[in-house]
Amino acid sequence: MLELARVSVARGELRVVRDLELTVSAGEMVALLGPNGAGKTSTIMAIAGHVPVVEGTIRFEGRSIDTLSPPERTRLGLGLVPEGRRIFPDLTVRENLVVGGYLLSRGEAQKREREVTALFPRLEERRQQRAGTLSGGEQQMLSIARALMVRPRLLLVDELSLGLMPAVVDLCFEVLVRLCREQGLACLVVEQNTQKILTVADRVTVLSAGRTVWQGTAEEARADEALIDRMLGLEAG
Amino acid sequence: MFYVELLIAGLVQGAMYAMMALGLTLIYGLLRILHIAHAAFFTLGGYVGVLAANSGLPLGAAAALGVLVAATAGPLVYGTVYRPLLDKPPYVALIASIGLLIAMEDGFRLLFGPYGLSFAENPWFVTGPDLGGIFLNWVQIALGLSAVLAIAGLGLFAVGSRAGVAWRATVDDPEMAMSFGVSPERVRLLAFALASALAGLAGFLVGLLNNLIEPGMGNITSYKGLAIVVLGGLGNVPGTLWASLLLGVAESFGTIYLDKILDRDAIAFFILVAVLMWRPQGLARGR
Repeated sequence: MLELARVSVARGELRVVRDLELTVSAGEMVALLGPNGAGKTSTIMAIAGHVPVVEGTIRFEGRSIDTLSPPERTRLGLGLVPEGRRIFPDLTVRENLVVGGYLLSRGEAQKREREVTALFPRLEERRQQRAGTLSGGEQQMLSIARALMVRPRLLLVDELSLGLMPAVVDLCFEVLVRLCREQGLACLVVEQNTQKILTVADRVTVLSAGRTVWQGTAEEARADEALIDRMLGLEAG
Repeated sequence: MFYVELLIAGLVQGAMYAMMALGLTLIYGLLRILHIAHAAFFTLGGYVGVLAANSGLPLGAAAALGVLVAATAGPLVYGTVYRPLLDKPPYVALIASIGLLIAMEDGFRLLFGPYGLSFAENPWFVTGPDLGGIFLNWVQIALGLSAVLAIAGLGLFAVGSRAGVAWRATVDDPEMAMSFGVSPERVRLLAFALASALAGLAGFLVGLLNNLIEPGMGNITSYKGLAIVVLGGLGNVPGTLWASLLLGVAESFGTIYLDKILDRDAIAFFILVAVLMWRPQGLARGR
């Protein structure tokens, strides 16, 4: 579904990702791990179209999307849950979902709104509440729900667990795993919480200083967590 | 009854300020630009209106024409002057705006002369209903009604329509709004069209009220508009509306009780300085 072939990404003059090879298939959850500054967020933002790719090609469902704008990629079936959630704080929960479904017809958006709030019943209770006043966990649920409004086939999720209570993280991952298994959603997830992501992901790619340093299945990663921790700079001592 | 009349006169004046300040605050909220040249759209609406009325059009149609021309000119100015400067520091757009105001004012001066134009007939000014002993002319009523309709219409648009919600999302985070298919460019064009239309209508009605349209007529009103935008909390729409009404009423009472010390405009700026010394962030929270 998603293929990155020798992709390099730049922020200004600086190349932050080099020669990245990555694939994500339908129904699969792939984790992108790495220490701070490894190029994980830049990769996600390049796939979503917010950061330019300077070399290589990104293909989605067999088609090159390098020249497409972010809304064109959204229309094609890419959803983004960005780092820091970036919900619209002055809009209500419902209005955030309206913006998420802006590319849909009014009727379709209303139907979809009911479907995504069924995934996160807490949002239904907070429907008319200003999003900026929600708790961090509720904001993350809203960010995921907003991205799901357009029925994406690939969801890009950046730092889902950051600053959230474990119970909320579990709930969010539970929803994503269910969507992957039951509806064939593909997920590319950037995550710092290694322990959690290795229990839900299918495959893992580890980046360091913009280069791929390890790729394998989550099972292989779980079998040698110390190796992954070393690559992430998390080893004790 | 005297105080009620003063209050109503102040609210009418506040309604006019609201029409000006609302446009300024909408543009500031979206682009972080202090659109000083807004004053020229106030004058433009007045000139188009007076020329149309003096050529035989009914006042209502002349007002509509003034609004239409101002609403068309606003997006044009955004596209030619501001859009190329969006990635520059904010003071660049501010300087461009001041330059544009001077250019448009002198343009009016060159085209229509320095002394201004009056309405050949001004029936809205000399007639009006008697509201239980309080006399208001039709221009004052039109000013009040226009402001109420504009504010209510904008409010309904902002919360009741998908386009309005998309607009507010663009104010919050233009990059994210764009990724969901909202066009920030269309939102900006619409903001300039609406803001300029409101300024044009206010200019036409103030022209009727004073029976004079002259090149610099928008300046003081626009400066007060900017003061109101700061008072109301930069980019804060409800704060702007309250500050407009407050300033109008304070001016109205001030002209009676402070007229020996300060003139009407000085009262407005005195209030601004006093409030900002007390609350530098304005009366309400800015964006």
